[in-house]
Amino acid sequence: MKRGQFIKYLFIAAVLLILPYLLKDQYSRHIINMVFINCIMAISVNIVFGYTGGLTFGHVAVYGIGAYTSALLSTKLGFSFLVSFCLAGVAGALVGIIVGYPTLKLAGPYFALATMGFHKVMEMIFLNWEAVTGGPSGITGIPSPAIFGIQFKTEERYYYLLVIVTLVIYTLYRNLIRSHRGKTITAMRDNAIAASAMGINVPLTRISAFTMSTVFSALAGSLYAHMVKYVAPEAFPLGESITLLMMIVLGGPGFLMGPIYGSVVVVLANEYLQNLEQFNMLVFGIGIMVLLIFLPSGIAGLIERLRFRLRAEKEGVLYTREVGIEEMK
Amino acid sequence: MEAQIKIKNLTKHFGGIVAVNDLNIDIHKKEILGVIGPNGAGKTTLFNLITGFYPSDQGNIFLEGSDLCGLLPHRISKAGIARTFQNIRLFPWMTVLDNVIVARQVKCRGGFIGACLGTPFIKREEKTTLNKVEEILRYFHLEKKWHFQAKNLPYGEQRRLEIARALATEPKVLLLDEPTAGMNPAESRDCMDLILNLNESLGITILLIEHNMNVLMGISDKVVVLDHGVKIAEGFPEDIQKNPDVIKAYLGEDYVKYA
Repeated sequence: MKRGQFIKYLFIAAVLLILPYLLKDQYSRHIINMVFINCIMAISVNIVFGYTGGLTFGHVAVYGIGAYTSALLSTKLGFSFLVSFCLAGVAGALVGIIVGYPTLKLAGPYFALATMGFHKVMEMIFLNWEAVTGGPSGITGIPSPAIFGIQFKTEERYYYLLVIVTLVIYTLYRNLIRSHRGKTITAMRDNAIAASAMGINVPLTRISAFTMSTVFSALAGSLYAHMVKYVAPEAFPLGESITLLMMIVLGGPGFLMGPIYGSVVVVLANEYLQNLEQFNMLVFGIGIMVLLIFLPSGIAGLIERLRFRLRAEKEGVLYTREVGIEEMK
Repeated sequence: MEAQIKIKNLTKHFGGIVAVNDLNIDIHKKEILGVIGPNGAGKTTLFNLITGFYPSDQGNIFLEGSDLCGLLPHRISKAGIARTFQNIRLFPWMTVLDNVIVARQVKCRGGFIGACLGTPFIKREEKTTLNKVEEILRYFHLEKKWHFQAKNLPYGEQRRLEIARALATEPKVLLLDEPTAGMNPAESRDCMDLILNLNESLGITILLIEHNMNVLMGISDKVVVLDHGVKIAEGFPEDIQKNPDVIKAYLGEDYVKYA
């Protein structure tokens, strides 16, 4: 490992470790935890939207399924956190295959509508299947997690659990995207016909990527359920899917770090703009419009562009990589 | 000698139009077969049938004795048939290097989960893949442009990259759909040399659709002429040029007497 890289990692680790001590009040700690949960969600949406090119509105429903699965298993069957967390992931994988298979051939707006339909169906189930989901009042009394005797009762303890899970998920996602096998996902988005002529099993690649992202979403849902100790249908509105897509677009779709930048900026902006009361959404919306006009490929795209320019000056190589929202076409 | 590719009674309809009608072609190992015909003769349809993009209505295609009918395109690619496209189909937003790496995945065994975990097996496999890809890029004189996005290459190099990518799958048979379209004479001569070289040094059987007769007649061992989906002539390039049926299909009845 290079020295600069080592220092960078050390710095990130230090910041992550002391962050909860910098924030004194309970509310800010809760917000920071929500940043991490949204970060996992954004990673999962970026795999589908950024890399396979599918505009998804269904991931909040999968997040809900993960939350409900985990909640039901730990309250009704008394499973420990680790078991219900893993089974939530399994539920996410099943949903990925069940939803992914019929929507394989759908592209663009049709895929968006299909996933939106899936969200609506799940919303109805959460709300009306009272025997299982508890209907509008939801499920209460979800125990806080304990792993090998360590209790994660308070929000700052839960923070460390979230950091570990997020880092593990980020590493899996980064390995995949950087691997040669992962490049086949982007190739499929760029030209599916050429990809299949090159021996890539397009349906299998697409379902694998989709299933991986639904697993991540369901795991995020499980973490959410155990943090707030209460799940109810109103926690999973369709609007949340739009917020997630906003994170990706703002952070940079199809960029490794895009979802991380996006989730931090959007969650924090959403919270700190609450002070503006009814003007909150207006300011937020205008802000996003302005950002998209000047930063069409998001924050990650801007950083990439600056880095390329620096490298081009230093090494004298031609500046050849264009980045932009066009990449999504 | 047994043919490497045997096309038997192949037929394909599109609605009321017969695009390929009861076609029989034998292609032997290491042969360069030129496919010509007027526009709409069914040449590209034939390629799409061989590579599995269209299911055939009737007939069979055998590669070294095994039937390819009903296989999906990626299976046929794995069986050893690679192709290029009439209108270039690269992965435009990916780099030149990544384009070839993706094509090389047919030869790799590491799966999705291994890639996520970054197992030592995957790391080793990626290293050998990279070496191989570099070798391929050098062969095609693209090694200096490995970090360019494919869409930013000049036209001739895009064509070359497409052949490089097809070659990365280590095919037994290579289908080239108008490889010199849009090239100037010097570029098409280079392209011809490249095709001959692939055929001679690597022993790859080549099927070639080409409108540039100088190119085609110069390098083909055998030529097949299609018209309205029917094979109207087959033979050595010199004979094809004098064949009255071919002249009729291209120029009309009146010109036959000038042959």
